[in-house]
Formats: sequence, structure tokens, C-alpha cells
Amino acid sequence: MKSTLKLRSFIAVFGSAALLATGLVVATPAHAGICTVDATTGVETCASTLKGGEAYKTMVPKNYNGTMFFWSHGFRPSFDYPGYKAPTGVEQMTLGNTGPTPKSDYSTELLALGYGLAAYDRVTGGLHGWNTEESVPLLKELVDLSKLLAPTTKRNVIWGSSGAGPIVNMFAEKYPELTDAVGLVSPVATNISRQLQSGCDIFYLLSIFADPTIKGCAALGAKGPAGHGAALTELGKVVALLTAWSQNLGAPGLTQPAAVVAANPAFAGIPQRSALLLIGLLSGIPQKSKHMDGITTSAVVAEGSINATVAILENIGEAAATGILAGQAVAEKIGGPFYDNTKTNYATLLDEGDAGRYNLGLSGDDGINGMLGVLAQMPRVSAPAANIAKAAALDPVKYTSTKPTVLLANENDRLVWPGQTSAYVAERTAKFAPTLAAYESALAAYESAVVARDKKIANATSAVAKAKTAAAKKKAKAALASAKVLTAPVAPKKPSSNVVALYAMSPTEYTKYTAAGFPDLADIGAASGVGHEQFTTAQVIALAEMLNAAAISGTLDITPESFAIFGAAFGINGDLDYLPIPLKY
Amino acid sequence: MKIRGSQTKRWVISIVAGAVASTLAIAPSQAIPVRSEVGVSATEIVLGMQLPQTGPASPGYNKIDDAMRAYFDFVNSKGGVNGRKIKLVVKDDTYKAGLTISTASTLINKDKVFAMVGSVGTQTHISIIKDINRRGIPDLFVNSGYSGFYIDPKKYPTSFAALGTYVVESKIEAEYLKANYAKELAAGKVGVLYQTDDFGRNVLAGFKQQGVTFPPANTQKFVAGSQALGLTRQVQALQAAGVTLVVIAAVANATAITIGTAAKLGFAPKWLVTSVGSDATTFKTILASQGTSGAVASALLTGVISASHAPSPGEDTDEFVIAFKKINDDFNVGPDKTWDNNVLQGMNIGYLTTAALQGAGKDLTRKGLIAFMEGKGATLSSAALSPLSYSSKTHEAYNSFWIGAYDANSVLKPIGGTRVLYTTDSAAGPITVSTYKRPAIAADALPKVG
Repeated sequence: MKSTLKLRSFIAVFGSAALLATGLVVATPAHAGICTVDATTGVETCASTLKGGEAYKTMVPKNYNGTMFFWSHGFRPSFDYPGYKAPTGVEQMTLGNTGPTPKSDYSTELLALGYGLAAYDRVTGGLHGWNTEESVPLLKELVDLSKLLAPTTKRNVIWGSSGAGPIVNMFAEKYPELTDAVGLVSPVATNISRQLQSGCDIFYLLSIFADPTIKGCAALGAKGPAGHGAALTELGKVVALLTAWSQNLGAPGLTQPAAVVAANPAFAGIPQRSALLLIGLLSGIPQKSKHMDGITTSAVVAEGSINATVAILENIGEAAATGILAGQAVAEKIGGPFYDNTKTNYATLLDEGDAGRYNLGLSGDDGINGMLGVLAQMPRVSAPAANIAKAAALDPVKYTSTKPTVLLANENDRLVWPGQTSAYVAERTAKFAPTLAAYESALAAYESAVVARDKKIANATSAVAKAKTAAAKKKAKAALASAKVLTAPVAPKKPSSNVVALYAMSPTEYTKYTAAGFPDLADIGAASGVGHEQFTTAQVIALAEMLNAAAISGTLDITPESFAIFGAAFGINGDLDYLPIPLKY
Repeated sequence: MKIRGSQTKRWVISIVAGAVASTLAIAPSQAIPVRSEVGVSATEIVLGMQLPQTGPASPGYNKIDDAMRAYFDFVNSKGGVNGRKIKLVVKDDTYKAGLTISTASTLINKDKVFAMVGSVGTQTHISIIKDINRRGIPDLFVNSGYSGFYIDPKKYPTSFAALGTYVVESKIEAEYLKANYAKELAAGKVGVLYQTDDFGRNVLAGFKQQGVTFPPANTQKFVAGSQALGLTRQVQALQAAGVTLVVIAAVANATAITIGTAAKLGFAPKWLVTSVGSDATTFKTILASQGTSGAVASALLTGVISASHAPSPGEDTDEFVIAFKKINDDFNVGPDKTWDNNVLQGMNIGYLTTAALQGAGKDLTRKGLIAFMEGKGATLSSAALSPLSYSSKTHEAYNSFWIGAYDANSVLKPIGGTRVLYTTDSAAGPITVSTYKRPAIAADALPKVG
């Protein structure tokens, strides 16, 4: 412990750069006190705390290849609740797996491949919550420290999952010299407010169509356990509602005051399940879930849109939980509620394709019009303009990083929607557009130059053949030689946007039914493409290997052909132009 | 597929380094990079299509792809288009939109189609049209009359219709009703049964445009897809309302269920059915599945009013019918090549596709094909008796229809014996008698474009 404190105080006082410069810290295999070497595996583990007391840990294998993976974990509520305990240290070193066989991280696999690992506890001011900007300095401190703890490091891969997306992005943008490749897993890849608006919409829409006692995100903002409790109370109402629907299949009709129904006669007689489906479609919840593929039918689930409705029922609980718990963290941070839907036109949030594809489940055009008509006349939720602005200003990612960036998301992630991933790629692509345009222009110029040179040579060759006198032939040959020595045009090198999204795909059809025709929710479900931070080991290792390769080469220049082969092997989209369900905001 | 660690590394490195390898390959030779078009080689053009080949919605429609392929095989036997053979890859979506998304992805990413052609269905196509257009893939001759796909080329720049829109057809049918059933309209004896989706909405809009509306008591509807549960309630309501003419704006299997149910209830109004809902093959197949004999089904179809932009398949003297029937006999290898309206439609799409590919020229590109369709697509001729409307302002297909009634042989015949084509648009344009004269088919039955 003494040496731990000693080293920590050294680092605190002098800073890592100073220590390196002065040579006070020598790169040794094991730093006494904070580092130990496992006798069996040879892995050196260093564990201590950052300047502010935040825990960190690094792990370096015996066969270390020089690539260090710096991990930032996702959002964690600050307070405990039944079934959840706020972290009290470094809880994972890499991406975990929340799937049917939960796995805290992939340390063993990555260390065996020769990679170094580093992670830290994202606690600031004693709390977790939405502390993305505040986490960037912690990550910077960890990266600096790693120079001391693992001095043979050659490359830094900055990666993280879920709510850590903004941290990873902001770090890469601020410290390009410390970033060789970027990995974003199931990420909030843009900013949280774009998704929170949809998350809070879920509560609002449920309050209109099912339970008027739901206050949703309007109830958020109180500090400490009180605010956290308020969020959980709202979540409890939703859980109760979903439980009822899972038992009555959403069959009861929607109800509203007589005056509202009178103004929207089509509303009468619409089953509650149509509203559930509409809520899912308006908020962008995936229409495939662990057990429901949105296609397969049975005697009870008579049509694809009914299957999708059950999928939304299966997904909406976690989506709502994310919305309310992350929403409370944001509200607490900015000092009050931020959700405002006074300007939302819900009719525009219903995609034309969804309205057609799920027409039956939505009770036809009449049902759609009836529900949207009711929505249009119901009171809205407002928030102070200052709070709205503060929420929108969170996670100020600029998309200016040019470092190789690989994103991995499930096509049906019910917690952080994959539209976050595609939105990030779109932003990077937009930033890259001028570079690409310049390349296209240079390529066109190159092609013209090649054609012109070839033509000149062809003409000169022809002139040689046609020359009738010795003098003319000599002159023509000289012209040909001159044409041939013209400097060959140089082909421009195709630039790369250095960003690629990997979407883990679910099978086309996988819903299983009981003999009575009900969905078999005890079945193992989709093998891929559903859930949050839930990937196959092969997909995780492929991501890590890709990040390492990109960190070494400095580029991600992937051809459609090679990506298709890669995708088929790993259950990844394999289509560079694939787009998941887009974000609604 | 199980991937071992070392394999993963090799695969990943190879894909990340892929472009490096290709750059090195180009550099020494000073060659201009070949800008090839997806789905086009020196010898082949790959086209994709999806439709219900199986399932409840498949009867009738499932003959269109075989007819298209037969026409392409015929073209290929004559050397193809600009030396390239046409290959048609077809996927069965069983009319389930979720599968349509999956099969479209397969066609695009695995089969590497140059263009989609002749895909069937409004609800299914609406699930993928945005993605196809986003990728710039030509989406030619879609078998849906939903006007929303075509009237705003800025929204869907690559999609072009194979049918007249439901609005155009309904406007013309409304005029027919006003001219021939004015008394019934005035007496509130005309009813409607429609499906509450884009299709049904389009039809009602067309009637309304011409001033034909239906009293609430005479208006029955159902949610598309629910017709399998039966339409008895709706038919009983129309019967109780005392209507003597019913407009049906629904897909073919719903039409068959409606008329079959009415027969069982002893309800025998005059029926006017939107063209895509009146296909004789589908009508009889559906009723047969419910135990109705072919003879009874034919009798039920006799006298049903509908509309068409093309000759009837039973018009044995029509030169296109003659030519296409022969090609069907010689080249169709599908399970059921019985000549009918679906086969005629498939042949016609094959003919139009060949013409469009000819028009796009030897240096075939997706952009070039779209440009041709917008610039000169309206000059293409086909078996239809109506001209095409394609331009940069609209991607609608046929703008003219004639009104007919089914005879005892299930052939749609012009009412009164003389065929008159009426033309209009999907907006507020007037309805006029068409003066279009269909160009003759060439002796070799191939289009001549470019």
C-alpha cells in the first residue's frame, strides 16, 4: 500500500509527462505496489486510483503486441435499486455481454491475443450519471499513465460502449495524437438528447393512450435519491401497464373522453395493441426483439404486424427504462426537466413505409388517423427553454476525428438504438464529402491526362507508320520518343472516410410458438442482432482485430467485396450501405 | 460458421488492407480504374424481382415472373440487349413485408442486381422503396397502382410504374358510373367496399375527384390483410343498405371473398371492381379454395365491370397477344404457363424492360437508365392501348383505361362492343377520349429503341 501511495503521489505531483521526462519512473515490468504479475498467465495487472480517487486498472500480457485498448463503460445510474448496484471500482475491462450467457468482459480472450487492456471507474464527484464530458479528463489521465505502466505501448485504441460513446468521440477529437483507432460499441454515438426525446415520447404516448397518471420525463429533475425514486416510480407505472398488456394481449379498446372521441370517430373501437404498435413506430423502437421476428405468424399471432407489436412489447420496457434513468441523470445534471414536445408533430414521425407495412396492426388507415388525430389535440409537455438548450448542448461531439473508427451495434438494440450508429457515420461522411469530391476531381483529371498521353503516343505512332520519307520518319520517331517521355500522370490515392459501421444482424425468421399459438418466450430467441451489448465472441474478437489492424495501418479502406465476405462470416451486415431504423430526432 | 482466432485475424487484416492491395495493383500499369456498374458485365445484365410466389396472395401474381423470364429468354435467344443476356433473379416474399425487406437485401447485396423490375405489391413495396431509391437502384415497372410511388419523382427518383394509378382508373370509372348509373347514384343505391390503406384511399380519392361519393350507410371497409377472416359483416351491411351496385376497391382475393360471400347470402348487385382486384385467375383460384367450382366462379364473374389499359388476353386477333402467346408457348418453363392476364402483364413488362435497356445504350449505367426513362420513357410502346406518362415530373405509367365487363369465358370485353379509351391524370385533370394509336409490334417481336 505504501508504494502504491508513493507512486500515486509522485504521479499526482509531477504528472506523467514530467515523470517520463525526468526519468523518475522507469519502465519496469512490474511497478512495485500497484502492479502484480500473475505467475500462471504472466499477465501484469496494475491497479490504483487516478488523481481524483477514481479506480483504474491496466492489464498487459507477456506477449504484449503494443496495442493498448482503453475501455470506457456505459451509463450507470448513481443510486442502487432492486437488482442494480452502482459500481464501486473498475467493473469491466472490455465490452461485456448482456446476452443469454452474460459475460463481464472479454479480458481473457484479448489478453491471449497479445493486447493490453486499460479501464477506469467513470465516477465524478462521487456519482456516475450522465458525466460524459467529465469523464474525458479521466480517460486522458489513464492514457498518460499507461505510458508509465506499459512503456512498450505503440498504439492506443480508444473504445467504449453505450453511454460512453460521447466520451470516446470527444477524446479522439481532442487528443488525436493519443488516438490510433476508435471503437464504439452499441454506442450513443451522437448525443443523448436525440434519443432521450424519443425515450420521453414513450412515456408521453403511454400517458395519452393508456395511463394518464404517467408523468414520464416531466417528473424528472430532483437531485439525489429523490429524483432517482421519482424516475423509478414512473418506470413502475409502465411496467404495470406492460404486464397487463402481456396478459390481455392489448385487446381492450382505447378510451378517451367522449369529446375527444367525437372529434375523432375513427378512434372508437381501436384495440390498445394498435396504440402500442404506434408508440413503438413513433419512437423508433426496433420491431424485432429477442423472440419476435416481425414476420412469423401463428393461430394467435395472425399477421406480421401483430408479431411486430409483440416485439415492441418485449422491447419497450428496457427502452423506457433507459429513457427515464438516463433522463433523470441528465435532468439532475442540468438542473431540471428538459422534455418538451410542444412542437412535435407526431404524424410526421410515422414513416410511410411503416404505416403501409404495419397497416393491419395499426387498425388500418382509419386507426392511424384516429390515433394521430387524438394525439394532435391532446395537451403537451413543456420545459424551460434554458433546460432544453442545456440538454441539447450535452455531449458536444463535432465529428471531426479522422482516426479509423469502427462502430458495432445490433440491428435491433432495444436500449441504445442503432440509428445512433448510422447517424454518426452520416455526420462523418458529411465531413468527409469535400475530401471525396476533391479526389473525384483529381481522378477525373488523372483519367483525362492518361487519355491525352495515350492519344499523343497513338498519334505519334501512327505518324511514324505513315511517314513516307526517311526524314519524315526520323522526325516522327523523335516526336514519338518525346511523347513517350512525357511524365506519366500520377493516379490520386483514394482517401478513406476511416469510418465503418458493423451491424450484428438477426436471422430473418426465428419466432417460435407454443402449441396454442402463443409466442414461446422461454425459447433462446435470436442468436444475433438483438439486445444491448450482446454479441457473439467471434463478433467481439473481430471488432478488436479490426481496430488493431486499423491502428497499425492508420486507415480503414474496406471494399464492398471484402466486407460482404466478412459480414457473412461473422453475422455482420456485410453491406456498407446498410441502414438500420433511423433516429426520430 | 465457426471462426478460429487465427482465421479472424487473417480475415480482418485482409479486409482492412483490401484497398491497399487494389491500389498497388493499379499503380504500375497506369491504367484508368474501371468504373463498372453493379449487375452489368460484358455478357450479362442481372435484374431482380420480388413477388408472392407462394402463400394466400400468390394466385395469379405468381405467373408474372415466369412470363417475364420467358420474354427475357426469348430476347436472349436473339442475342440479348447490346450483346448482354438478361438474367432475372426472383425472390418469393409471400406478400409479407418483413420478408420483402430481407429478400430485397439479398437481391441487392448477394445477387448484385443492376435494377429491380416488375416487383409486385403495394404494402410490400412500400417497405423497401425508400431504401432502393436511396441506393440509386432503378426500380422499374412496379406492379402497384399506388400513385404515391410515382407522382413525386423527387421523393422516389428511381421508381417507375407498370400500371396506371388507382386514381386515374377510378376517375375514369367514376365518369362511367355517372354516365350509366346516374339514377342509382342519385337514389343512393351505389355502395363501396374498400381496404383502408393506400390502395383503397387512392380509389376513393379518384371517385371523389369526379364528384362520386358514397353515403355512409353504403360504405364498408376492411383493414387490408384481414379479409382472410371473412367479409361477411361488410357484405351483409351492403345488402341491408339495399345497394344495387357495389364498387370494390380491394386486392383480388378480397374481391373473390366478397363476391363469393354475397352469392352465398343471395345478394347479387352489379359489381364494379378495380382492375388489379378483378383478375380472373385469382378470382377463380380463391373461390376454388373455398369449394366453389370453376363453372360457378365463372358465372359469378360474368357481368362484373372493370377497366383495363391493355387488350384482354382473350383477344386472339391482337398482334401483341398473338406474339406474346407464341413466346409464352416457346419459352415459359414455369409451373403454370396457362395464358391469362398475368402472363400478358409479365410479357409486357419483359418487353418494356428490354426496350428501356436498349434505350439506355451500350454503356449501361443506373443513372443512364433513369435518365432514359425520364427523358424518353414516354415514347416507349408496348402491348397496352394507352401511352406511357414517364417524365421528370411523373413516373406514372399508363394514363388511359377502357371500361369492360367479363363475359361467360371470363374475358373482359368492352361494354357495348366498342372499345373507347379515356385518358386523364392522377390530379384534377379532365377526362378525355384518348386518340393514342398503339404502334405495331415488330415482326421479330422485339422492341426497337436506340
